[in-house]
Parts: sequence; C-alpha cells; structure tokens
Amino acid sequence: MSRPEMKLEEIMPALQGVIPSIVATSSLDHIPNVTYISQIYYVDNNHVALSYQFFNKTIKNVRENPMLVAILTCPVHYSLYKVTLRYKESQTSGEIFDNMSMQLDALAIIQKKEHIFKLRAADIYEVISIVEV
Amino acid sequence: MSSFEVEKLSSQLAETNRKMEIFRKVSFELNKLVSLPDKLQTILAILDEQFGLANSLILIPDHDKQLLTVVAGHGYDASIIGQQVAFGQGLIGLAAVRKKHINLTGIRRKQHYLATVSNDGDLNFVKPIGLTDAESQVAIPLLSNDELVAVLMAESRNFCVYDQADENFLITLAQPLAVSIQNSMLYDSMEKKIKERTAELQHLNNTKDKFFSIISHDLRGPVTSFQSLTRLFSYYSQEGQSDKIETLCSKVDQSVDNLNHLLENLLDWSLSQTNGIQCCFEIIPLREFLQNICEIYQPNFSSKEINLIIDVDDAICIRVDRHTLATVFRNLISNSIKFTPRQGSIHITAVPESEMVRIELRDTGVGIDCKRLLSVFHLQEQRSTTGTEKEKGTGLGLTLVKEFTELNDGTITIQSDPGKGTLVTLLLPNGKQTQ
Repeated sequence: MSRPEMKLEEIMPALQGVIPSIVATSSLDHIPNVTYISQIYYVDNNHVALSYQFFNKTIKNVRENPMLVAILTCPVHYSLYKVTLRYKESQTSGEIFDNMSMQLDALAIIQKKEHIFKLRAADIYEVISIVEV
Repeated sequence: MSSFEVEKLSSQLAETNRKMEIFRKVSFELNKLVSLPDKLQTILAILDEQFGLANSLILIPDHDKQLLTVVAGHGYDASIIGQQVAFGQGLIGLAAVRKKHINLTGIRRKQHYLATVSNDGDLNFVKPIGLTDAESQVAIPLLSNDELVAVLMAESRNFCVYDQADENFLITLAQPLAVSIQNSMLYDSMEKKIKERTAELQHLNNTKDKFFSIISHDLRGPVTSFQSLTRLFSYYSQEGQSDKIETLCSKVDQSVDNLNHLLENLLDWSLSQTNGIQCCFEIIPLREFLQNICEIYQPNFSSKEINLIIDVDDAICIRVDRHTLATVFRNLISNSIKFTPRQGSIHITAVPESEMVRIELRDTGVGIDCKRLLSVFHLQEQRSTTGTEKEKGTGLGLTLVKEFTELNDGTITIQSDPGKGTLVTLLLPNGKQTQ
C-alpha cells in the first residue's frame, strides 16, 4: 500500500535548511547525478526554489531534463520526504530572488565573503509529489 | 460539520484570541507614558512570553552615521545596550538597508558550508553583537511610511524556532510598533526642545533681571547723593546762607553731569547685551578708570567726609571689559562708602604682579562678621544691609561683583575685621604683560 501524498505546507520545517537535502537529477542521456544542496526554499503551496550560485552538474541537468527528486529531512522528527519537482524557470529578480539573495548575503557578509557568494538566479520548481519515505 | 473541522476552527479561534491578547498587551505598553527604552524592554518581555523569543533586541538607526544602536535587549546582560551594528552588516544591518525581514536557521552549518566551498577552512566571522553561537535568527525592520524606525532581531541556539505564522504575526506587529517608536522619539525630541527653549527663556529672564539690578544698584548711590545736595540747598536756603548755595551750584552741576554720564553708559551697555552679558576686552589705564568711577561718588565722599586715596601708578594698565569692571568698582566703592562711618577713609592701591595686577581697596568701615563673610558672594543668602547712615542696597551687589570679576579672568577675595574695616583684593589681567 502506497503512502498518501502530502502537501508542501506539511513539511515546512524540512524547508528551513537545517539539514541539507539530497537532490538527484539526470542528464538528457540518462546519466544520473546525486548531490547535496544546502536549502530548498518554500515559494508557495505548489512551488519551491533552489539557489543557483555556481554552474554545476545539477544546473546543467535540469536545463536539459527538468525533473528533479529531492530527499528532505525534517529537523524536528527526522522524517524523510521524497519530493519530485519539475524545473519551471529561473528568476533573477523579484521577491523570491531578493529573499534568497538576502539570506545568502547575510551569511556571506558575516564571513566577509559577499564578493564570492552571489546568487545568480532563483530556480523555480513545480512540486509534482511529496511522499514520506 | 465534522468534529475534525470543529476542532480545527476551535484551534484557529484560540490562536486568533492569543494574537488579539498580544496586540492588546503590546498596545497597552505602547501607550504608556514611560521612556522609550523602558517601553521597548517591556514589549520584548511580552514577545518572549508569547513567542518564546528568549533573546531579542531592538535597534534604532542613525541614518547619518549609518549605524544601528541597541536601545532594548532581552535575554542578554546590560552591556548589550548601546552596542552598534553598521548598516549592511550581518542580518540586522541587511534588514535595515533592504527594509525587508530575514529569517535564517542552521546558521552555523551554512557558515561552515560557505567556508568549505570557498576553500577557506578557517571560519573568519565578524563577531555578532548578540549570541556568538546562534543557529536561528530573524530580523524584522520596523517601518513607518517606508522609513526605517528600528530593527527587531530575535535569535536562538535552537533550530527552527520561528515558524512562518509567528513570523507573519511579528511582521504585522511591527507596523504599530514602528509608529509608536517614531511617536515616542518625536515626543522625546519635542520635550528636549521645550526644555532647551525654557532654559533659554529662563536665561534671558535672568539676564534681564540682572540688568535691572545693575542699573538700579548703580543709580542708587549717585541719586542718593544728589538728594543730599538738594536737601542741603533747602537747609542753606532756610538758613539764608546764599554763599554756600552758590558753592553747591557747581557741585550740583557736576553731580548732574556724572549722573547723566552714568545713565547713558548703563543704557548703552544694556542695549548692547541683548544676547546676555558679552565682554569686550581692552587695555585701559587703571588710575584714570578708577578716578572716573570715584568722581560719580564725589558728593557721597563729601557728605560723609570720607577721605579717598587712589594710590595707583599711572603706568599700570589692565586688560578687562570696561563696562563689567566699572560695575565691579561702582559696587565696591559704593559699598565702602555705605559702610564707612563719617570721617573714615578708603584707600585704593595697585601693584603689578607678573601677569596680573593686584588691586586692594581698604576701608575703615564697620567690617563684616565671619559668618556673613562666608556667604557674601552667594545670591540666595544675600540680604541687603543698611549703611552707617541708613543707606539702602539691593543685596545683589557682591554677587555681581564676583561674577563680573571672573568674567574678566580675575579673582576677588574679601578680608574683614569687624569694627576696623574691610580689605577687598582683586587680581586682574595685567595689560602691560598681555600686550
């Protein structure tokens, strides 16, 4: 029996970036890539955002193949959630971009590394499904 | 309606009630007539009670210096008050510059991550003003008409302590908080201005009173002596001594001239002092200066048969303000006349002493007893004493003498031997030395 699907607002603590998330992508020729990502940001009930600071394999893959699977951990109960996402667009301005950029700046400024860490874009993903694993 | 829905609605109602209660408490505190820091301190305590914000700060910006200063802190020791953060620095500085709230959690891990990916293993943090090991921080700018009024910052060593609903409520609460802080600051600045204006008006009023006192005091002596002359006129007229009346005529003429001259001087001076007592220093020959002053009192010396000796070398000069020092000597000489019995003497001497000139005014008057001598320069303890021939005074003379002597960079001391006389010693800047 499969587990019931969940809503994004039910896993809010997992979106606060306490525990890094695992993300899996695949290139157009089906070569997978699994990595850690610091935080997946809540946008609204149907969307999340990932920060795009450096061009890496994850970014390259989602530009070719928009599907992404993330494993998020709730820092309160340590429950794991498998979230399937579809890349929608990259935003380089607007409220979501500003908020994510501000968080990055707040961390970088404390270390005097604001010139190194700059948000290039807020990649917006549509939430396809959320399942507790 | 299902029981689940009822439970959900009931929970929402309880939550709304809680928030209303917080609003009520905060509004009550905001309307209290207490100092702004006290008001903010209480609000931070309420936020702790309701949201568990165990460590929180409110900072007020100085837009000119681009700094934020802690005015209220909760959960820290007292030294946190007055600490400063630059605009743009850390979470607080960023919230201030961008006028947007920030909520961060997992701060230390993220810091390590940034240090690792930038190939910089050493964590080189700018020391924060609050907790050094905070894991969660939220900073909310308090804005009024888009103007930054303050920043509210809360932090914790725990993860995820500020949920979205609480954060949204704090943002809602920020608006009345900002308006109240702004009003309090405006009120404080108005109060400060009113105090400054009151002090200014008080000062002007005191100056005005002082001028009235100086003028009345300085005029009293010459007018009294003039009165003595007119009485003599009457007496000689009744006695039919016309030869003495003729002699008196020239004295009256001189006395009127002196009085007129003194009056003009006092009026000119008082008109020039609309901004308080201003000194205009100049080098003046002492002997001539003293002679001009003593001239005014010539009828008094004559009527009380007081022997005046001015034993001052022509070469001695002093660097003083002519008008204030004239008031000093007019007061001292009129006092000496007042308290010196008939056929007494007043002896004025001057000796240069390096950068100062020592001027001594010795009389053979009734003197001042020890107790009174201690308080002669204090206005609140001054009471006028009538002279040897019932001469009146204002009781302000010696207070002004001391104040004006000091305005001229001088000092004054009084020694007295009751029944034998008084010695007044003034030290004033030597005009020859300072040329």
